[in-house]
Amino acid sequence: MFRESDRSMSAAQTREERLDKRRKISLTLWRRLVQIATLAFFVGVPLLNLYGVNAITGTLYSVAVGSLTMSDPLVVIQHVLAAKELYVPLLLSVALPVVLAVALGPVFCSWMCPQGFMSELIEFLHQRLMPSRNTHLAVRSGAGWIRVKWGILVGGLIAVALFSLPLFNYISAPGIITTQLASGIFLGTVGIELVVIAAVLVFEFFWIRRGWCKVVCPIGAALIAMKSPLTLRIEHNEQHKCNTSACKVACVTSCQLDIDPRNAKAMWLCTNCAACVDACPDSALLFTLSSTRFAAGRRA
Amino acid sequence: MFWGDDSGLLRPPGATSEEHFLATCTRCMRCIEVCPYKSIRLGSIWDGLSMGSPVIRARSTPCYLCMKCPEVCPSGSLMSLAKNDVQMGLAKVNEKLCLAFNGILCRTCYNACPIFDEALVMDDELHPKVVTEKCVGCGVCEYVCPTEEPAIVVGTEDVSRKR
Repeated sequence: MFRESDRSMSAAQTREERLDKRRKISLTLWRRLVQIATLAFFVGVPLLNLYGVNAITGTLYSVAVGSLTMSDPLVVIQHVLAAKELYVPLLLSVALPVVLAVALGPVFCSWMCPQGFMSELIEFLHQRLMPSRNTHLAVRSGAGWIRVKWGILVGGLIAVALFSLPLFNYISAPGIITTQLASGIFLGTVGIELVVIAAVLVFEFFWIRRGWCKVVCPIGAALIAMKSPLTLRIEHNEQHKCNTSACKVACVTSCQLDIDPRNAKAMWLCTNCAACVDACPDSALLFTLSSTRFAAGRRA
Repeated sequence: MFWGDDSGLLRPPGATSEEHFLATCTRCMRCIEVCPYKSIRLGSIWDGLSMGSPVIRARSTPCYLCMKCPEVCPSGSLMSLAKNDVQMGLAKVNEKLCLAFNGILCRTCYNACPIFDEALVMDDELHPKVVTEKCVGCGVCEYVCPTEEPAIVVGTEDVSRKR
Protein backbone atom coordinates (compact mmCIF):
# COMPACT_ATOMS: atom_id res chain seq x y z
CA MET A 1 0.00 0.00 0.00
CA PHE A 2 2.67 2.51 0.95
CA ARG A 3 4.65 1.48 -2.05
CA GLU A 4 2.02 3.08 -4.28
CA SER A 5 1.94 6.25 -2.27
CA ASP A 6 5.71 6.29 -2.45
CA ARG A 7 5.67 6.08 -6.20
CA SER A 8 3.16 8.88 -6.55
CA MET A 9 5.17 10.96 -4.12
CA SER A 10 8.39 10.43 -6.00
CA ALA A 11 6.64 11.29 -9.26
CA ALA A 12 5.44 14.53 -7.77
CA GLN A 13 8.86 15.31 -6.41
CA THR A 14 10.95 14.64 -9.49
CA ARG A 15 11.52 18.26 -10.35
CA GLU A 16 12.24 19.21 -6.78
CA GLU A 17 14.52 16.22 -6.41
CA ARG A 18 16.43 17.12 -9.50
CA LEU A 19 16.92 20.64 -8.22
CA ASP A 20 17.90 19.23 -4.86
CA LYS A 21 20.45 16.93 -6.39
CA ARG A 22 22.07 19.74 -8.29
CA ARG A 23 22.43 21.69 -5.08
CA LYS A 24 23.67 18.69 -3.16
CA ILE A 25 26.31 17.52 -5.59
CA SER A 26 27.99 20.85 -5.18
CA LEU A 27 28.99 20.00 -1.59
CA THR A 28 31.19 17.13 -2.72
CA LEU A 29 32.37 19.24 -5.62
CA TRP A 30 33.38 22.00 -3.22
CA ARG A 31 35.17 19.47 -1.08
CA ARG A 32 37.11 18.16 -4.07
CA LEU A 33 38.12 21.68 -4.97
CA VAL A 34 39.38 22.34 -1.43
CA GLN A 35 41.27 19.02 -1.41
CA ILE A 36 42.92 19.79 -4.75
CA ALA A 37 43.73 23.33 -3.62
CA THR A 38 45.37 21.99 -0.44
CA LEU A 39 47.48 19.52 -2.40
CA ALA A 40 48.38 22.27 -4.89
CA PHE A 41 49.43 24.45 -1.96
CA PHE A 42 51.88 21.85 -0.67
CA VAL A 43 53.27 21.41 -4.19
CA GLY A 44 53.43 25.16 -4.72
CA VAL A 45 55.31 26.02 -1.51
CA PRO A 46 58.55 24.13 -2.33
CA LEU A 47 58.26 25.33 -5.94
CA LEU A 48 58.17 28.94 -4.76
CA ASN A 49 61.04 28.23 -2.36
CA LEU A 50 62.99 26.79 -5.28
CA TYR A 51 62.72 30.17 -7.00
CA GLY A 52 63.79 32.01 -3.87
CA VAL A 53 60.35 33.11 -2.70
CA ASN A 54 60.33 32.42 1.02
CA ALA A 55 57.14 34.22 2.06
CA ILE A 56 55.49 30.82 2.38
CA THR A 57 57.45 27.94 3.86
CA GLY A 58 56.76 24.67 5.56
CA THR A 59 54.84 21.44 5.38
CA LEU A 60 51.83 20.00 7.14
CA TYR A 61 53.75 19.84 10.44
CA SER A 62 54.19 23.59 10.48
CA VAL A 63 53.59 26.12 7.76
CA ALA A 64 54.13 29.87 7.68
CA VAL A 65 52.35 32.29 5.40
CA GLY A 66 54.13 35.59 5.90
CA SER A 67 54.32 36.03 9.66
CA LEU A 68 51.34 33.76 10.35
CA THR A 69 52.53 30.33 11.49
CA MET A 70 50.20 27.35 11.75
CA SER A 71 51.22 24.03 13.23
CA ASP A 72 49.72 20.58 13.39
CA PRO A 73 48.16 20.19 16.88
CA LEU A 74 49.67 16.72 17.24
CA VAL A 75 53.14 18.09 16.49
CA VAL A 76 52.70 20.62 19.29
CA ILE A 77 51.43 18.02 21.76
CA GLN A 78 54.47 15.89 20.89
CA HIS A 79 56.78 18.87 21.35
CA VAL A 80 55.40 19.53 24.83
CA LEU A 81 55.65 15.86 25.85
CA ALA A 82 59.05 15.16 24.31
CA ALA A 83 60.84 18.35 25.37
CA LYS A 84 58.85 18.77 28.61
CA GLU A 85 58.75 22.49 28.05
CA LEU A 86 56.32 25.10 26.77
CA TYR A 87 57.64 27.06 23.82
CA VAL A 88 55.23 29.97 23.42
CA PRO A 89 55.65 30.72 19.67
CA LEU A 90 54.87 27.10 18.84
CA LEU A 91 51.90 27.01 21.22
CA LEU A 92 50.48 30.15 19.58
CA SER A 93 50.87 28.66 16.11
CA VAL A 94 48.36 25.95 16.97
CA ALA A 95 45.55 28.43 17.73
CA LEU A 96 44.07 28.68 14.25
CA PRO A 97 43.97 24.92 13.53
CA VAL A 98 42.40 24.30 16.95
CA VAL A 99 39.76 27.00 16.43
CA LEU A 100 38.97 25.45 13.03
CA ALA A 101 38.61 21.99 14.57
CA VAL A 102 36.47 23.17 17.49
CA ALA A 103 34.19 25.26 15.29
CA LEU A 104 33.83 23.10 12.18
CA GLY A 105 34.85 19.66 13.45
CA PRO A 106 37.58 17.50 11.88
CA VAL A 107 37.05 19.15 8.49
CA PHE A 108 40.80 19.00 8.05
CA CYS A 109 40.47 15.22 7.61
CA SER A 110 37.72 15.30 5.02
CA TRP A 111 38.30 18.60 3.24
CA MET A 112 42.07 19.14 3.31
CA CYS A 113 44.17 16.14 4.32
CA PRO A 114 46.26 14.90 1.37
CA GLN A 115 46.25 11.37 2.76
CA GLY A 116 42.45 11.46 3.06
CA PHE A 117 42.29 12.61 -0.55
CA MET A 118 44.55 9.73 -1.62
CA SER A 119 42.52 7.27 0.44
CA GLU A 120 39.37 8.37 -1.36
CA LEU A 121 41.15 7.94 -4.67
CA ILE A 122 42.20 4.41 -3.66
CA GLU A 123 38.61 3.64 -2.66
CA PHE A 124 37.42 4.93 -6.04
CA LEU A 125 39.95 2.68 -7.80
CA HIS A 126 38.95 -0.23 -5.61
CA GLN A 127 35.31 0.16 -6.60
CA ARG A 128 36.26 0.49 -10.27
CA LEU A 129 38.71 -2.42 -10.42
CA MET A 130 36.94 -4.92 -8.19
CA PRO A 131 33.27 -4.02 -8.26
CA SER A 132 32.00 -7.58 -7.92
CA ARG A 133 34.37 -8.90 -5.31
CA ASN A 134 34.09 -7.45 -1.87
CA THR A 135 37.71 -7.86 -0.87
CA HIS A 136 37.37 -5.34 1.88
CA LEU A 137 37.03 -6.53 5.38
CA ALA A 138 33.47 -5.68 6.24
CA VAL A 139 33.61 -2.92 8.79
CA ARG A 140 30.19 -1.73 9.71
CA SER A 141 30.76 -0.42 13.17
CA GLY A 142 33.11 2.52 13.00
CA ALA A 143 33.03 2.62 16.78
CA GLY A 144 34.98 -0.63 17.21
CA TRP A 145 37.96 0.62 15.27
CA ILE A 146 38.22 3.88 17.15
CA ARG A 147 39.60 1.90 20.10
CA VAL A 148 42.63 0.94 18.01
CA LYS A 149 43.01 4.57 17.01
CA TRP A 150 42.80 5.78 20.61
CA GLY A 151 45.33 3.11 21.53
CA ILE A 152 47.76 4.35 18.90
CA LEU A 153 47.29 7.98 19.96
CA VAL A 154 47.55 7.46 23.72
CA GLY A 155 50.21 4.73 23.57
CA GLY A 156 52.17 6.78 21.06
CA LEU A 157 52.06 9.90 23.21
CA ILE A 158 53.30 7.95 26.24
CA ALA A 159 56.18 6.65 24.11
CA VAL A 160 56.87 10.18 22.87
CA ALA A 161 57.26 11.34 26.48
CA LEU A 162 59.38 8.30 27.44
CA PHE A 163 61.76 8.44 24.48
CA SER A 164 61.75 12.25 24.10
CA LEU A 165 61.22 11.90 20.36
CA PRO A 166 58.32 13.01 18.12
CA LEU A 167 57.67 9.40 17.13
CA PHE A 168 54.47 10.06 15.17
CA ASN A 169 56.50 11.93 12.56
CA TYR A 170 58.07 8.62 11.45
CA ILE A 171 54.66 7.21 10.47
CA SER A 172 52.41 10.21 9.90
CA ALA A 173 51.16 9.58 6.36
CA PRO A 174 49.73 13.09 5.74
CA GLY A 175 52.92 14.69 7.05
CA ILE A 176 55.13 12.37 5.02
CA ILE A 177 53.23 13.18 1.81
CA THR A 178 53.94 16.87 2.27
CA THR A 179 57.55 16.50 3.46
CA GLN A 180 58.38 14.12 0.63
CA LEU A 181 56.74 16.47 -1.87
CA ALA A 182 58.89 19.29 -0.51
CA SER A 183 61.97 17.07 -0.51
CA GLY A 184 61.37 15.83 -4.05
CA ILE A 185 60.65 19.28 -5.45
CA PHE A 186 63.14 21.36 -3.46
CA LEU A 187 66.02 18.97 -2.83
CA GLY A 188 65.42 16.58 -5.73
CA THR A 189 65.52 13.48 -3.55
CA VAL A 190 62.93 11.36 -1.78
CA GLY A 191 63.36 9.11 1.22
CA ILE A 192 62.41 5.67 2.49
CA GLU A 193 59.44 7.30 4.25
CA LEU A 194 57.49 6.80 1.02
CA VAL A 195 57.25 3.13 2.02
CA VAL A 196 54.76 4.23 4.68
CA ILE A 197 52.55 5.79 2.00
CA ALA A 198 52.79 2.69 -0.19
CA ALA A 199 51.95 0.46 2.78
CA VAL A 200 48.93 2.59 3.67
CA LEU A 201 47.63 2.45 0.10
CA VAL A 202 48.03 -1.34 -0.11
CA PHE A 203 46.40 -1.71 3.31
CA GLU A 204 43.44 0.39 2.20
CA PHE A 205 43.09 -1.18 -1.22
CA PHE A 206 43.17 -4.78 -0.07
CA TRP A 207 42.13 -4.82 3.52
CA ILE A 208 40.14 -2.02 5.12
CA ARG A 209 38.69 0.83 3.13
CA ARG A 210 39.88 4.19 4.39
CA GLY A 211 41.94 2.13 6.84
CA TRP A 212 44.44 4.87 7.65
CA CYS A 213 41.70 7.37 8.52
CA LYS A 214 39.56 4.87 10.37
CA VAL A 215 42.02 2.72 12.26
CA VAL A 216 45.39 4.46 12.49
CA CYS A 217 45.53 8.22 12.06
CA PRO A 218 46.60 9.84 15.35
CA ILE A 219 46.00 13.33 13.94
CA GLY A 220 42.40 12.42 13.17
CA ALA A 221 41.97 11.01 16.66
CA ALA A 222 43.30 14.22 18.17
CA LEU A 223 40.95 16.30 16.01
CA ILE A 224 37.94 14.16 16.97
CA ALA A 225 38.88 14.66 20.61
CA MET A 226 38.50 18.40 20.07
CA LYS A 227 34.79 18.12 19.25
CA SER A 228 32.57 20.10 21.58
CA PRO A 229 28.78 20.42 21.89
CA LEU A 230 29.09 23.63 19.86
CA THR A 231 30.94 22.02 16.95
CA LEU A 232 29.34 21.95 13.52
CA ARG A 233 27.87 18.55 12.86
CA ILE A 234 25.59 16.68 10.49
CA GLU A 235 22.30 15.78 12.07
CA HIS A 236 19.51 13.50 10.99
CA ASN A 237 15.96 14.76 11.17
CA GLU A 238 14.35 12.10 13.34
CA GLN A 239 10.86 12.87 12.13
CA HIS A 240 11.92 11.90 8.66
CA LYS A 241 10.79 8.52 7.41
CA CYS A 242 13.79 6.69 6.00
CA ASN A 243 13.92 3.38 4.12
CA THR A 244 11.62 4.55 1.35
CA SER A 245 12.28 3.26 -2.13
CA ALA A 246 13.98 6.52 -3.06
CA CYS A 247 16.16 6.40 0.03
CA LYS A 248 17.41 2.80 0.33
CA VAL A 249 19.52 4.08 3.21
CA ALA A 250 21.73 5.86 0.71
CA CYS A 251 23.49 7.74 3.51
CA VAL A 252 24.86 4.57 5.10
CA THR A 253 26.31 3.27 1.85
CA SER A 254 27.74 6.66 1.01
CA CYS A 255 29.78 6.91 4.21
CA GLN A 256 33.29 5.64 3.55
CA LEU A 257 34.05 5.71 7.25
CA ASP A 258 31.19 3.23 7.79
CA ILE A 259 29.21 5.42 10.14
CA ASP A 260 25.42 5.31 10.09
CA PRO A 261 24.53 9.02 9.86
CA ARG A 262 21.11 8.35 11.42
CA ASN A 263 22.80 7.16 14.59
CA ALA A 264 23.62 10.29 16.56
CA LYS A 265 25.89 8.36 18.94
CA ALA A 266 28.08 6.98 16.15
CA MET A 267 28.29 10.40 14.52
CA TRP A 268 30.94 11.63 16.91
CA LEU A 269 33.40 9.86 14.60
CA CYS A 270 32.10 11.86 11.63
CA THR A 271 34.54 14.19 9.88
CA ASN A 272 31.85 16.35 8.18
CA CYS A 273 32.70 15.25 4.65
CA ALA A 274 28.99 15.60 3.80
CA ALA A 275 28.87 12.58 1.46
CA CYS A 276 25.71 11.47 3.29
CA VAL A 277 24.14 14.91 2.92
CA ASP A 278 24.74 14.61 -0.82
CA ALA A 279 23.41 11.05 -0.93
CA CYS A 280 20.19 11.61 1.02
CA PRO A 281 17.36 12.06 -1.49
CA ASP A 282 15.04 13.67 1.04
CA SER A 283 17.22 16.32 2.72
CA ALA A 284 16.88 14.48 6.01
CA LEU A 285 20.56 15.09 6.77
CA LEU A 286 21.80 18.61 7.24
CA PHE A 287 24.69 20.48 8.78
CA THR A 288 23.68 21.72 12.19
CA LEU A 289 25.17 24.27 14.53
CA SER A 290 24.17 24.18 18.14
CA SER A 291 22.13 27.37 17.84
CA THR A 292 19.92 25.95 15.11
CA ARG A 293 19.62 22.75 17.11
CA PHE A 294 18.34 24.63 20.12
CA ALA A 295 15.89 26.52 17.92
CA ALA A 296 14.59 23.26 16.48
CA GLY A 297 14.22 21.87 19.98
CA ARG A 298 12.18 24.86 21.06
CA ARG A 299 9.94 24.58 18.04
CA ALA A 300 9.23 20.94 18.84
CA MET B 1 68.37 9.96 26.45
CA PHE B 2 69.98 6.56 26.34
CA TRP B 3 71.11 6.76 22.73
CA GLY B 4 73.61 9.39 23.72
CA ASP B 5 73.99 13.03 23.00
CA ASP B 6 76.03 12.83 19.83
CA SER B 7 74.60 11.62 16.55
CA GLY B 8 77.77 12.66 14.72
CA LEU B 9 75.66 14.77 12.37
CA LEU B 10 76.11 18.44 11.62
CA ARG B 11 72.93 20.34 12.42
CA PRO B 12 71.94 23.72 10.97
CA PRO B 13 73.56 26.69 12.74
CA GLY B 14 71.98 27.68 16.04
CA ALA B 15 70.84 24.15 16.85
CA THR B 16 70.34 23.40 20.52
CA SER B 17 71.89 20.30 22.13
CA GLU B 18 71.41 17.13 20.10
CA GLU B 19 69.01 15.66 22.66
CA HIS B 20 66.91 18.83 22.81
CA PHE B 21 67.07 19.23 19.05
CA LEU B 22 65.79 15.71 18.34
CA ALA B 23 62.99 16.16 20.89
CA THR B 24 61.81 19.55 19.66
CA CYS B 25 62.40 19.62 15.89
CA THR B 26 59.01 19.33 14.18
CA ARG B 27 60.59 18.09 10.90
CA CYS B 28 58.62 20.84 9.13
CA MET B 29 61.49 21.48 6.66
CA ARG B 30 61.24 25.24 6.84
CA CYS B 31 64.98 25.59 7.50
CA ILE B 32 65.62 23.41 4.45
CA GLU B 33 63.33 25.51 2.28
CA VAL B 34 64.91 28.86 3.15
CA CYS B 35 68.50 27.69 2.68
CA PRO B 36 69.73 29.42 -0.49
CA TYR B 37 72.54 26.86 -0.96
CA LYS B 38 70.47 23.73 -0.28
CA SER B 39 73.07 22.93 2.36
CA ILE B 40 70.46 21.49 4.71
CA ARG B 41 69.29 18.03 3.71
CA LEU B 42 66.83 15.53 5.18
CA GLY B 43 68.31 12.80 7.36
CA SER B 44 67.93 9.42 5.65
CA ILE B 45 67.20 6.01 7.11
CA TRP B 46 70.98 5.50 7.57
CA ASP B 47 70.91 8.32 10.10
CA GLY B 48 68.67 6.24 12.36
CA LEU B 49 66.49 8.32 14.62
CA SER B 50 67.57 11.46 12.77
CA MET B 51 65.64 10.29 9.71
CA GLY B 52 63.55 13.20 8.46
CA SER B 53 65.42 15.79 10.53
CA PRO B 54 67.64 18.49 9.01
CA VAL B 55 71.34 17.65 8.59
CA ILE B 56 74.28 19.26 6.83
CA ARG B 57 76.69 17.09 4.87
CA ALA B 58 79.71 19.34 4.65
CA ARG B 59 81.54 17.40 1.95
CA SER B 60 78.57 17.79 -0.47
CA THR B 61 77.47 21.30 0.54
CA PRO B 62 78.73 23.12 3.63
CA CYS B 63 76.97 25.84 5.60
CA TYR B 64 77.78 29.35 4.40
CA LEU B 65 76.49 30.88 7.65
CA CYS B 66 73.84 33.12 6.04
CA MET B 67 71.85 32.52 9.24
CA LYS B 68 68.45 32.50 7.55
CA CYS B 69 67.35 29.15 9.01
CA PRO B 70 67.18 29.97 12.74
CA GLU B 71 64.78 32.80 11.96
CA VAL B 72 62.13 30.50 10.46
CA CYS B 73 62.36 27.66 12.99
CA PRO B 74 58.90 27.44 14.65
CA SER B 75 59.92 25.20 17.54
CA GLY B 76 63.00 26.81 19.09
CA SER B 77 65.20 23.97 17.85
CA LEU B 78 67.36 26.54 16.06
CA MET B 79 68.10 29.71 18.00
CA SER B 80 69.13 32.95 16.31
CA LEU B 81 72.73 33.94 17.03
CA ALA B 82 75.68 35.74 15.46
CA LYS B 83 77.60 33.65 12.95
CA ASN B 84 80.79 33.84 15.02
CA ASP B 85 78.96 32.19 17.94
CA VAL B 86 77.79 29.18 15.93
CA GLN B 87 78.94 25.80 17.24
CA MET B 88 77.97 23.20 14.69
CA GLY B 89 81.12 21.17 15.02
CA LEU B 90 84.87 21.40 15.09
CA ALA B 91 87.31 20.98 12.21
CA LYS B 92 90.23 18.58 12.61
CA VAL B 93 93.24 18.28 10.32
CA ASN B 94 94.40 14.81 9.35
CA GLU B 95 98.16 15.36 9.07
CA LYS B 96 98.70 12.11 7.14
CA LEU B 97 96.44 13.25 4.29
CA CYS B 98 96.95 17.02 4.37
CA LEU B 99 99.01 18.22 1.41
CA ALA B 100 100.63 21.02 3.45
CA PHE B 101 101.94 18.43 5.89
CA ASN B 102 103.30 16.39 2.97
CA GLY B 103 105.52 19.04 1.48
CA ILE B 104 103.08 20.45 -1.05
CA LEU B 105 102.09 24.11 -0.85
CA CYS B 106 98.33 24.19 -0.22
CA ARG B 107 96.25 26.74 1.64
CA THR B 108 92.85 25.99 0.12
CA CYS B 109 91.07 25.57 3.45
CA TYR B 110 92.78 28.59 4.96
CA ASN B 111 91.66 30.77 2.06
CA ALA B 112 88.08 29.52 2.12
CA CYS B 113 87.38 29.71 5.86
CA PRO B 114 84.58 32.25 6.47
CA ILE B 115 86.02 33.14 9.89
CA PHE B 116 89.11 34.14 7.93
CA ASP B 117 92.49 33.95 9.64
CA GLU B 118 90.83 33.44 13.01
CA ALA B 119 89.34 29.94 13.04
CA LEU B 120 91.95 28.49 10.73
CA VAL B 121 95.49 29.88 10.72
CA MET B 122 98.73 28.92 9.00
CA ASP B 123 101.54 28.27 11.44
CA ASP B 124 105.22 29.12 10.94
CA GLU B 125 105.75 25.99 8.84
CA LEU B 126 102.72 26.87 6.64
CA HIS B 127 100.63 24.05 8.08
CA PRO B 128 96.91 24.75 8.65
CA LYS B 129 95.95 24.89 12.32
CA VAL B 130 92.40 24.96 13.71
CA VAL B 131 91.75 27.45 16.50
CA THR B 132 89.19 25.50 18.53
CA GLU B 133 87.75 28.54 20.29
CA LYS B 134 86.97 30.25 16.97
CA CYS B 135 85.98 27.36 14.67
CA VAL B 136 82.18 27.28 14.12
CA GLY B 137 82.11 23.95 12.27
CA CYS B 138 80.51 25.22 9.08
CA GLY B 139 82.42 22.68 7.01
CA VAL B 140 83.62 24.97 4.22
CA CYS B 141 87.19 23.70 4.76
CA GLU B 142 86.05 20.08 4.46
CA TYR B 143 84.18 20.98 1.28
CA VAL B 144 87.10 22.68 -0.48
CA CYS B 145 89.86 20.27 0.60
CA PRO B 146 91.45 19.03 -2.65
CA THR B 147 92.51 15.58 -1.45
CA GLU B 148 90.29 12.65 -2.44
CA GLU B 149 89.44 11.87 1.15
CA PRO B 150 89.20 15.24 2.90
CA ALA B 151 92.22 15.95 5.07
CA ILE B 152 90.21 18.34 7.21
CA VAL B 153 86.92 17.04 8.60
CA VAL B 154 84.31 18.62 10.83
CA GLY B 155 83.27 16.42 13.73
CA THR B 156 80.79 16.91 16.56
CA GLU B 157 82.49 14.90 19.33
CA ASP B 158 84.21 17.80 21.07
CA VAL B 159 81.34 20.25 20.73
CA SER B 160 78.62 20.76 23.28
CA ARG B 161 75.93 22.96 21.84
CA LYS B 162 74.19 25.29 24.22
CA ARG B 163 70.93 24.29 26.00
